[in-house]
Amino acid sequence: MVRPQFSFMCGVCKRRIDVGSSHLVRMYMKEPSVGPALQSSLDTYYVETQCVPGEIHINIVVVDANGRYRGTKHSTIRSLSSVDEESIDSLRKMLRFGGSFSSILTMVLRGEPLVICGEEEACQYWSRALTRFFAIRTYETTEWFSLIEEVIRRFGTRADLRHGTMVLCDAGLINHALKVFPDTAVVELRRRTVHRGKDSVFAKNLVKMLNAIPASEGKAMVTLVNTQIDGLRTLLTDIVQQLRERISDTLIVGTAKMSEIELVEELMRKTLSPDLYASLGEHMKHEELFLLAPHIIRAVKPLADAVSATLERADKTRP
Amino acid sequence: MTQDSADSGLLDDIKARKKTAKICLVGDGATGKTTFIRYMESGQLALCATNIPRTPFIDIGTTRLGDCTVVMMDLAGQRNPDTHPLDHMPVTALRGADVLLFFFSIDNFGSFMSVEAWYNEVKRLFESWGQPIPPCILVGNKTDLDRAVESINGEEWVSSHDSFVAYYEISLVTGHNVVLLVDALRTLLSEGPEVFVSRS
Repeated sequence: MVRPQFSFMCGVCKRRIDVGSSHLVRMYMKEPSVGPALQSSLDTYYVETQCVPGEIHINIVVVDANGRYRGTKHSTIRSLSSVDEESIDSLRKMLRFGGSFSSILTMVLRGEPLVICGEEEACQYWSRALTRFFAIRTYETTEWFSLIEEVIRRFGTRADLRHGTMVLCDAGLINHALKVFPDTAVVELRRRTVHRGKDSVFAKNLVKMLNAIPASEGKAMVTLVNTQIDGLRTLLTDIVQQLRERISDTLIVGTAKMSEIELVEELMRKTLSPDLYASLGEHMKHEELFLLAPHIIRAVKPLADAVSATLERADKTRP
Repeated sequence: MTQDSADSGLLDDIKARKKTAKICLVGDGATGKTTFIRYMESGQLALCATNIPRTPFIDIGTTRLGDCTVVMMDLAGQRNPDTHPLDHMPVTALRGADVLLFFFSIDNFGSFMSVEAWYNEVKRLFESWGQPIPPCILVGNKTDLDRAVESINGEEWVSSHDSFVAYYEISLVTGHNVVLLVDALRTLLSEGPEVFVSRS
């Protein structure tokens, strides 16, 4: 539909890859490229293709605003079998967390800031696994903190973490972490608890499905997760691209009393053609929009500006 | 008259009398700047391009183009802070240049992305000296290798930056378009950038 269609030569096997026409291609948009000030803006896409059985060829390609291929930043090869064993193991370990796992997923899928408290090795493992499987856009992990003094030196006594940030702390700092980051979800690995986490139907269903897959079908777990998250990524790319093309500043009015989802929904309704809006609706449920809304707001600049202006106004009027 | 403009006038006068010109080559490492200088000096293509060492700081070459003696300044491609000629001797390296060649490698998208950083830095230096940036040529080298940068990037870059007069895709291994680039340099030095503007 709105996915850019272009073709390029695979940097690994030199075969022609037609993005958009092949079902063997999985693609999602990374951050817009920071680079030469050309007439068109450039976006970077991550394209995975299974050109050869047992191998995944990964190309990081640059595409302009018209969907025209501009170049390849990086090409690499990944062996399917070795990655899968590792991935299956990681997913199984994460599922052992228990009932609150879906709220961790929800936070990561929405790109919300997250604090993880536990043993250093476990924290690093969780951070790597969560961002690898469930982060829709780039997630930034800050360094490990083992002393409260280090946390305070870095963040002060009270801090609002940025979107897409993960902080790893020692298990003993849990009470301090809850105080220093009063508005952030905190995962306590030792007690398998999530403080201030949000949950979503999408994440709950995903966890339910993963738990239902028999242990012998490990690969199915990985495929399920990849398909679900790639679906969200593609949806995000489609919506963001459409909104970027069609949005005008005059449309962003009256944002003060709207929730994130209402704002994005209203904007999509006003901006997109009725056909496109209806077709997006078919592919997307309310819970998916709940997960994507923060990403959409941050990716569409006029929208992000309008939301931050509204927040500033709200701050000023607060006694 | 300021000291800078007086120096600049004197430099132009000496260059005109002695018929000398200065070309500066900038761009990321491994994009073919040194190979190009060697080609200009010897006329030999880099048939075995693997044995060219990295330019640690600056390399200077000379050649004749028409009736003009050309000094070529090849600046290191690794822009490490405080170890680059643009930090320590920007005047020697750049000032008085008649042409700037911005190199990138067609098989390396990152080197094309870096062109903007190089251009901005060079432009800032010329602005600080109160001089206009000289005519620039964008050179995409290594057309003999698998392409990672489409031609449209270079074409669009040149059309969106007034200082750039031309874009050439060359190979210093096969000789593809190298003669065209050298001809362009000769024309630029003898007839000025207006020729390119009227051609375009």
